[in-house]
Amino acid sequence: MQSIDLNSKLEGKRRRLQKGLEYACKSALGITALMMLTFFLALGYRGIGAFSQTQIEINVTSIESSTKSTINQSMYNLIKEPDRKTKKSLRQLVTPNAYSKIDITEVGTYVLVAHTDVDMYVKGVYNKLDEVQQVIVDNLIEQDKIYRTWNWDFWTNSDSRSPEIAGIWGAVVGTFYTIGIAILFAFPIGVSCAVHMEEFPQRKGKGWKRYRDFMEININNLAAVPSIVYGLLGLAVLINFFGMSRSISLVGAITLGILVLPVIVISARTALRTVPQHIRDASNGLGASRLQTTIYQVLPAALPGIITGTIIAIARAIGESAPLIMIGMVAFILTAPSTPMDPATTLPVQIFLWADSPERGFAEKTSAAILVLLVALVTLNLLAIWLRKRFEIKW
Amino acid sequence: MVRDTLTLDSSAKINVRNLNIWYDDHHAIIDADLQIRKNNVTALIGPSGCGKSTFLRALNRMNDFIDDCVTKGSVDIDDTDIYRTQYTNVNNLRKSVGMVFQKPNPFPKSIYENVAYGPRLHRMAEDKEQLDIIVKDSLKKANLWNEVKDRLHDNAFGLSGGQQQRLCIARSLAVDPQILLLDEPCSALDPISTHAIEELILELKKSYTIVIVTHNMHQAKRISDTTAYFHLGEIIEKGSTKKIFDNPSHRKTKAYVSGDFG
Repeated sequence: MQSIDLNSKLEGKRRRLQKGLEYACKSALGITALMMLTFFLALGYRGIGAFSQTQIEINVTSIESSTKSTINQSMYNLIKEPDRKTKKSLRQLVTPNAYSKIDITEVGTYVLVAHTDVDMYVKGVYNKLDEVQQVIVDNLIEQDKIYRTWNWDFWTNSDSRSPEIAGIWGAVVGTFYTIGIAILFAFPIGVSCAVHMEEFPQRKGKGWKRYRDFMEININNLAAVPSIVYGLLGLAVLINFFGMSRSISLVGAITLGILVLPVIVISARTALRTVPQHIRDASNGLGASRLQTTIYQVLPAALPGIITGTIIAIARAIGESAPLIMIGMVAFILTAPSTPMDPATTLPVQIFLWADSPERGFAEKTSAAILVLLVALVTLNLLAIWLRKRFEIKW
Repeated sequence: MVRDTLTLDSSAKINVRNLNIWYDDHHAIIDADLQIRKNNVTALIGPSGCGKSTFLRALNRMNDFIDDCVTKGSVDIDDTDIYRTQYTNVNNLRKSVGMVFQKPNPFPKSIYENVAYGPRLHRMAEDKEQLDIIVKDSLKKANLWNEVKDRLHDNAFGLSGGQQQRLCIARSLAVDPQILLLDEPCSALDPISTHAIEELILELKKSYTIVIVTHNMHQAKRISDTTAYFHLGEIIEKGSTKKIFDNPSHRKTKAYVSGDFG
């Protein structure tokens, strides 16, 4: 009797194929990980600077007619008898908007935001300071009068022409309004649509089936339509036809709502389909009507899946910029919108705006805003996974 | 008075006449006639795919939920045809004709909520106390109360298979039915749980009319009073269980009950 050969290796060709495939898969994973890592590192390297802000301490010795001239005067005091050109250099060490945020009425020491050129010089990005400025800045750094702190302005300010005080708050509020209303609008419609298609089939044979197939193809198609087309739709229907104002969150919200509607319908249908038939049988067998079965048993059981799908839809909507550009949400927003009817912008559009700016100081703002957006997306996706793990029913 | 009781007991609770069911092109039930008596256990036996379950589901119109299922003929319950019109109140029908399925299918909720769901649907309790009483009574009738009384608010999925099945029976009893349809209630259970359910069925027989589909011929023999043998969609033989098992008149019935096939 022949014993089983357990010691010999796999024959050459078969082994090579197996090993080759194994390495191909491993290297594919490696390449993906490497690309992600490069992406994050590059963004982090370029964007980390935006989270700190260069500030400059000034000594106010005399009060002038306005805060602006008070600040200018205290800057001139840094050098004995400056000429006109030096004065200009000195003035330009603090941000041009400094006087709008602070009201100086007493003599003393004040902390102001430094000009973007000083900021960039301190952070070592580029050096556009002239000789006078450079000497003074170096001097002030030594005296600890120019230093970097946590950049609250980045979180609490809206957009600005001056990169050193530009922030994302306006865009964040705009994003909340836009996405919040979009989901309020798309969730009930999407879920009702899915319930209609999954839970209330008509038994009238071929016609219904054809209708359902047609709807399914349509919805799947809508999910694949390029997002800019939805922007055109919003522009043509909401703004041109219904005459709503441009740039407001409400129009953006309806446009994004239509955009994520098919995603919500598809995920809700999938979630409804995972609810086992025997639960419907049990409920119907007790004399529940179809609607009661759906509301009391099927929807609660499908809810974790529906919510997960909706969060993924939200994540998609948050990252959209093209349709919002079409409906004019690329406005330059200096103050955060207070209602959805105010002109607003969203994070991705803000990123687009900053990336488009000629001032080099906006480069790090762009990367930082991308980082914020990525962190928000990762949080949402983690939340989706957590919700699914936590509330999923194991049948 | 005596005569009255007698008529009640011996009268047909369910009278199925000339029932035909099609799934698309497949003729699943062919010209079925069957009288089901009150307070009797009627067993439906036969090989797989012979239409027992379809027949059972026809008795409370659960087949309505299946696409392409067409039903012709009449099913009289207490002399009212449940297929008379499409406007029959099927919700009340299913309340009165409860159903227990092959696989224990509790809702993913607490034990209490499982039983309380039906009474809430039909607004049978006016307040919490009444609902508590209904839940307690139903669990007691299903011989489950003693096992679960301390953990009424635990998830029903934590119960064993046999307990889950008795919970499903309790859930059906909670809406105060007259007829119970059991679709192979023991096929997913071990012998001890099966025994508990069989005891329960014999107990419930006193107050309910029971129709049970079973693959287990010994079970049919043990618990049923009347048996109907299905073969390829037709009721080939029906009669008292004793006669069907001891002295079947049809060749196929004989082959099946003696274990030659099936």
